[in-house]
Amino acid sequence: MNSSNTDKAAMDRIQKIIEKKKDMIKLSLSACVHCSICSDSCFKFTSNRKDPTYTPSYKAINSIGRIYKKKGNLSDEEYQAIKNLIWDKCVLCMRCYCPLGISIPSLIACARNVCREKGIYRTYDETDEGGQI
Amino acid sequence: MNLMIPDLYDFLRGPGFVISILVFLSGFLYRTILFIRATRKIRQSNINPENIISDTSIALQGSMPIKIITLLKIKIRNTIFGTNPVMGIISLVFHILLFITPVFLSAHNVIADLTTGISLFAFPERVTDIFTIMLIAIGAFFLARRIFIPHVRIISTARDYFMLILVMAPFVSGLFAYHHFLNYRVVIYIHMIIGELAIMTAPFTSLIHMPFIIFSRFHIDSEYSIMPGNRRW
Repeated sequence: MNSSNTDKAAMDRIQKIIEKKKDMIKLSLSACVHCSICSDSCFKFTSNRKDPTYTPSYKAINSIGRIYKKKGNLSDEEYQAIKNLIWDKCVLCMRCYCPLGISIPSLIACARNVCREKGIYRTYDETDEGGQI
Repeated sequence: MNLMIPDLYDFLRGPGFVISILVFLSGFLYRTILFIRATRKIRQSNINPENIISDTSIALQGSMPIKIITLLKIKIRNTIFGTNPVMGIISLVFHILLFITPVFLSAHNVIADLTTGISLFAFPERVTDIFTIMLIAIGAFFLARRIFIPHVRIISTARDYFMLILVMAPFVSGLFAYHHFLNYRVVIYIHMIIGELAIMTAPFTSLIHMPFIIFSRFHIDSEYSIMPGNRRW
């Protein structure tokens, strides 16, 4: 489990990332009709017995959507849940298709940027003591 | 009190409708500005076009009909029409009917003609009646999908159910008014009020997806663009 940055500089950088992509996030979140059609184009969804938590829109709404709504002020547990969604459940292969043209990979990439600034990132062969890279 | 009701009818038929259209256009303009701010103009690349290998150029062999079918297959293979054609066709029919039914309805065009002297082509009433029933049936299908399919249910919020009701209510009340089910006066007021509310709120709710699709498919340069766009996210 990564330790999260709570210093002001990190939070300022997170605010900058959100501010830079604010219009795209706002427009995408409000245009999304929650149709879940994007799920059919996600290989992680189809290869995980159609587990609904692999739905691309679910991953975007529950990562950058939450970060945007709370302006990055989420608890460590919430960031860990987001980490699981945007790294373990998404490989950013860019194959997700939204019938409305919402760029889901851009939203997930933005959530990854925020998480990295928070000190939360992909870990491999994770043990109780932490990531073993 | 008796005077108030005809006044309300005249208001909803005239200024109320004009206000709803103005609010819609203002909201649409605001969203367009937001879209321009959210996107950037794409930079011209220095790559020689002759060096770009397109999968379409490789696959396009054979006679003209085969070429057209191949191109269509390539274009739709990962889209909704490729992955879930039934859902794609249902959605397309729903959105076409959603637009043509109220616009080309004879009753609406009679009101437009009486008020402004301008009217559009109108479908026969029997046809629009069938269109409305089809719309309601597809709306019920969308509702069932939202309730029973796990990956749709997991991201559904109260907002989605409310929007579905807001979109379907003018059609249900319109059908009721046409067939004189329940109290006609009450039904026609509900029809007009909800219809104008739906038009007004469209740019500020998820109903913005209808003009958004024009932005994304015609202006954004992506694999799924209908026309090559000149902007990127």
